[in-house]
Order: sequence, then C-alpha cells, then structure tokens
Amino acid sequence: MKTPEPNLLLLILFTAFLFLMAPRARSTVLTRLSLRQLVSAAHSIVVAQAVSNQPVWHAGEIWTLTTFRVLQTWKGQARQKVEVWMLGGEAGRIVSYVPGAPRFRAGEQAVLFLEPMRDGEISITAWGEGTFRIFHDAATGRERVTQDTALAPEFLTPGPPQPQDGIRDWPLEKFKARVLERVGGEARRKK
Amino acid sequence: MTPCRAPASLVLALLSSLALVLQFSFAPLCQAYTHDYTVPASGGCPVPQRENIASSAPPLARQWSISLPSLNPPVIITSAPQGTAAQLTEIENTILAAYDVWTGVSGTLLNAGSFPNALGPLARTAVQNACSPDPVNGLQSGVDGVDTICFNQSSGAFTTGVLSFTRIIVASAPGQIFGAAPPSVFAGQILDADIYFRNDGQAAFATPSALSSAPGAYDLESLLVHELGHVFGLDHSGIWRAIMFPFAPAPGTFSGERPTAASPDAPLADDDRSGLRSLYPDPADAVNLGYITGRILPANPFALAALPATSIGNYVTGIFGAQIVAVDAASGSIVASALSGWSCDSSAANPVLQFDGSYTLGPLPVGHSYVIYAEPFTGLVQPGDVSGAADSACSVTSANPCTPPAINTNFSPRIRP
Repeated sequence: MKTPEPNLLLLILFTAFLFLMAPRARSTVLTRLSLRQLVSAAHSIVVAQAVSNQPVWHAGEIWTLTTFRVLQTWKGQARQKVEVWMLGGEAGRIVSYVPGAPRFRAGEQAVLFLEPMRDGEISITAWGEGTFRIFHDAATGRERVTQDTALAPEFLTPGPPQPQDGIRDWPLEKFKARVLERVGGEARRKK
Repeated sequence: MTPCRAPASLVLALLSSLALVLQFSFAPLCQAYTHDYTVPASGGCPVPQRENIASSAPPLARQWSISLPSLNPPVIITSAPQGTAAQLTEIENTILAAYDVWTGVSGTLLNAGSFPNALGPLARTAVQNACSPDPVNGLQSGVDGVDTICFNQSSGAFTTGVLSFTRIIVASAPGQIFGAAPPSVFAGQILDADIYFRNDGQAAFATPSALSSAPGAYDLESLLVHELGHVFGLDHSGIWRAIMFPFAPAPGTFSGERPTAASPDAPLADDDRSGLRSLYPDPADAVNLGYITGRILPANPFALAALPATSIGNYVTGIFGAQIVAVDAASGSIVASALSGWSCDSSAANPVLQFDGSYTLGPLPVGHSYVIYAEPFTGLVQPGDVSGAADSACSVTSANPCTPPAINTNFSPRIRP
C-alpha cells in the first residue's frame, strides 16, 4: 500500500479552500424568504402527517394531492385535515415531473406553510422553503425540524450578516416558539 | 471500458476525515448531480429520464413564446427598449447562449461541435400559453414534443417565492403517444419539457447586459441555464458551484462565469458536465470512459436489520442515500458525485431493485487517480431534496412494486484499509 505524499494532502487542503472560496451558484427556482416573510405569506401554518398521495387532473395538468392529518395549527383556522396540491405526478401512463416540488411519503411529518393558489386550492408557500420536515432524534427522544431548503449562504444578500438563515436541525419546540412569535407580531401589526 | 484506478485506501480515509472536518467547520463541500428515474410500465430496472438525442432521432424541437408580460415595471428587462424587435432579439440571444452552455460540453451527444444537428433551430411562437396544456382537453393536448420557454404563462404552481420551474412529461414505455409528440422510443424518454417563468410581476428577470442597471431583477441567463439542465434530464445538485444548485443569488447580482465563444460551458461545474455525459455519452469519446463502482456498507450490518422490507422478501442491505464524491487526486477538483442506493440486474428475467448501497461514479476521464469519500445528506442538501429521485426508482404500478427506504443519514464514514 502506498503512503500518501504530504504534498498531496496539502494540495487537497488548498484546493478544498479554493473550492470554498469559489463563486457561488447562480441559478434557480426560488427566491429567498425570511421566516418573517414566510409567516406573512402563509395563510395557515400546520404541523401535519402525510396520509396519502393521489394524482389528480386539474386545469389540464397532473397534480399530486397529498392528504395530511393536521396535528397542530400554528396559524389560520384549525382543521383536522388538509389537502395540499403540488404540480406533477404520475397518472396512468403519464409521468409529469417538476424538479423541486416537494413530495411526501405516507407517515412523514412536517411543518407546512400553506397558501391558496389562484383557484383556491391549497399549496405550499415557496415549495421547499415552506416545508420543514420533522425528524425524531433517537438520542434525545425529541423532534427536530429541517427546512427543505436550509441553504443559508446562497440566500445571503450583500450587506451586514442577516440572522434569517435556513432552519436546519432545530428542536421542534424552538421552531414553534419562533414561528408563534412571528405570528403574534404579525397579528399585533394588523390591529 | 477502462476502469479508473482508486487511490490508496489510506488516502481515502484521510480525505474522508478531511471532508467531515470541513463539513462541520464551514458547510458540506459538495453533493451530487442526480437524475430522476422512470420505472418502465412493463416492470424492470429503473431508467434515467433523458431526451432522445440518438443519431436516428430528429433534431430536438425547441421554441420560445415571444409573448411577454405587459406590466409596469417590466418583468423582462433588457438593454433594448421594451416592446421592440430588438428586445426580442436580445432575449433570444440570451436563450441561445444558455443552450450553448450545455451543447458546449465535450463528450456528449449534445455537443455542438461533434453533433451540430442534435438540436433544431430555436423557433418563435406568438402563443402566450405555449407551455400550457389545454385545460379543456387535458394534458395530452399540451404535450407537443416541442421544448418551450414561456415568459407569460400563468400557473397556479407559482406560490410565493417561486421564480421559475420546468415541467417534464416522461414516457414509461416505448411506443407511447402523448398529444402531438412523436411516439416514444424508450422508457424514460422525455417527451416534452417546458419552462415557466413567473409572469405576475412578483419577480423580474434581466438579460446579462441589463442586469447591472436592474438591481431588483434576477439574472435571466443563469435561470435559463439551470432550467435547461432540467430539460435535459438533470435534477438538482448540492454542489455550490454547480449550475444545477437550486437557488438564486440576490436580485441584481451575478457570480461565476459567463459563457464565451472559447468556453461556452464556462458556467458549469464538472459535476454538471459529468451528469450530462452520463445521460448522453458520446461513443467516440476517448477521454471520459472510466467508472468507479462499489457499495456503501455500515460497519455493523445489524444496523440495517430494523429497516422494513422494500418489497416482498427484499431487505435493505446497504446504506441508502449516501453521497459519494470523486475528487481528482492531482487537481483536487470534484469531478463527479452520486447517490448510493440500489442495484438492478437488467439481464435478469424478472429484475428486482436491490437496496444494497451500490453506487457508480462516472464517466470520468481515464488516466487519472481519484479520491472518493462518502458523506450523509446532513448538510446543504437534505434528504427531502433527493427523496424524489429515490422515490422515482420505485413504482407501485410496475410488475415489481417497491417502496424505497428512507435516506440514511445515521452514519459516519470510516474507510477500512
């Protein structure tokens, strides 16, 4: 077995550094929304568990209608279930695929920021940005959340550092408190 | 096929440790290009979704709708005055430049130098809703086999924050006919791929020459290159520098490289190029011929025992959803990455997906040594970002239905010497 040459490791370190300093990516489907903006844009915010997925035809397109059982309501009118529409799906022989559109498996739990589409059906605010999947931390027994798009560096705008980075691996209770604080602030502003 | 030579395993271990250290200190270095898969209607192994670029196929039809939103302030910002022929020309040139980025990649059937007729001419249409299916007659009437770009097509899918998206229609068997598209030739064939830009005034887009004077607009060329990557079958990448990274910089800003005549694919990262080469390999390519294959296994095989079977009698026997990255040992550049997960023996009479932690990296340039490492999806890209690709490898309607296991992030890489 050959032993790695020291200059190879130095080279790797150096190139890794260069990579980190390289210009960031430039393309996309989403714009950056702070948690405050997400709370403001969403008509309702729920903790929900996916029950089923169903492809449906709507306005000439295939959509996937995911039925969620609502476990908690953090904003908006409380209800027992919600049906969330996302573009794309598989209906018979036709596969319609939309990269970036969140998909959910039955049993999966998430905090969802929801808003009505033009025709009144419910969808997710900013797709992956308004999707916070819930994970069970086996070590602590507590639930944690991660935003589908927890990608803070790419969202930063020029100027001083901003605090509203993506949400990654937060305790659910901490996230809930932060969201409810924003919801309360919004309600106070409207009065 | 010439296999690539992997470097000494000790280097693997060291680099693996290095990657993890950097991950904790800064952020993950990279993730991968990913493809989405279609399970053939007749059953069998999942196949990646891709356009039909075979030499026997007609050139890929493409068009753009010259219908632009007539809002004030404008949605499409150009150096040329609004509403003029010069504006349309400027937009069209931006679209063509974005296409040229992908056709500039060497070693692919899309390469403009080797295959100048792979793409048809970029046509114009005055139809505002050229991307849209007919809401009365259903989706098939909108599947015209022409990849279309629309700047003034409304869609209910544009919730707050969504700038643009691509909708792809894929065949699940040969001979399928949807709308006006020619019959499909293979399962996984992209029959129609249309790009929608937000048109309601909630976002504006500027051509490269107009961007500096449009601080509130997004760089149109970058978004086009990204969406065209989807048109050609690539999904999102987690590599920061990759054009398939799924997020926009702030409005009015641009970073990276613009395409040039000498280097039309300059905006791409090697990860983008590897992804394209894996979908459209040029048989005459004498450079990118190497593949690295293997399996990712937990140190304790009993760690997988609690996972549910993915289909009747089939259990998870490897790490599913690890990120495998290849680094050129000489240059230190990340050249490719892949999602570990499954294998499928397409030569079997009744092939069944095995979730055994298999991976394949490539095609990679031969004559190089590569360092590879594995990492969990616990950084920039989360399990939710790649679960679509994982889900698409299974189908509940095929002859061999399966349910993919959850992306496994509960491991720390250790490489055995």
